[in-house]
Amino acid sequence: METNKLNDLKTVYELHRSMEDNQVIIAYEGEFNQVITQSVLSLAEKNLEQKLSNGISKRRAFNIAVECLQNISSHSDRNTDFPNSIFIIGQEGNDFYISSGNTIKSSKVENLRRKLDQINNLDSDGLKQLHMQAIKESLKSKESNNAGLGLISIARKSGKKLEYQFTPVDNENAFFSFQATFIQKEDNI
Amino acid sequence: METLKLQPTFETPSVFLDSSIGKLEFSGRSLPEDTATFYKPILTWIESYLLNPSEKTEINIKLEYFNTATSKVLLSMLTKFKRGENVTINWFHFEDDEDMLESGKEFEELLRLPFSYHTLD
Repeated sequence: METNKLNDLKTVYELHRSMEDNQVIIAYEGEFNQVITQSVLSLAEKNLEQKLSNGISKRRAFNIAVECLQNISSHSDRNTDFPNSIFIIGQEGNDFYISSGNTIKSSKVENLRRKLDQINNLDSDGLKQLHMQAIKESLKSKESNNAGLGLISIARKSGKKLEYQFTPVDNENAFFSFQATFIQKEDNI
Repeated sequence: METLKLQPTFETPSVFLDSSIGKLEFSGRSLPEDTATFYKPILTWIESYLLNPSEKTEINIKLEYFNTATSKVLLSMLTKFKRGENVTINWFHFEDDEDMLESGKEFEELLRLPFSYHTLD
């Protein structure tokens, strides 16, 4: 496979065009750590502040961005073979797309798929019940993994189905692509 | 007992814990990924406060935003207080923030402590 290096200047233009075509507002690709997560979040917040008109929409979209970014680190197992993850916010009119992608162990795929399907099969009351149950359980267990709670919270703020895809990377790893949609609440409703 | 006062940062709230008047206040935002580091001294303070609490305890939660990791730590912090110990939780939310109001109601249901709701200016 031929890979384009960035020193081929065409790549810069192609990346730029591709991001413009996909209405990307923010994209970060690379290793995530606490400092970087905070910088990306701060950038996301400033952009969302600018593009969203009311307080509740700003807070909901920011909430999705926070949980999405924090999910990347809780799912990615500090994977040293595949340390790079991606985080993207895109906009099309009043619709915002908050996406993440990271490599996880293949052995975790089924469990995560089950969780996502369970969430996608519930309406808002069902999600509320699931949230209450999950938070009670999280108090009992010493585990610090809040991946489940984070996904439920994203689904509640989004109000739309969560989209996801697993792409095998090799025998032991899979790439987890995730997207939440957020539609800005009109001011006059 | 010493008053615990913490200044807000990008991802942590301002905290004011005063044992002499039994007032515990959290305001701003709380979105750290690692909640343990930030909340440990607060939990320790509360544990010693509860050994000899003020006659009346008022807990003001004036958070504009918190992440799910914080909701876990908030819940475990508030479960340290028991009904009947003269504790009131004042839950603040922006007028348009139905989500924060709902979070308060969910905490109330989980904790069974007296909650009262107020709007943030």
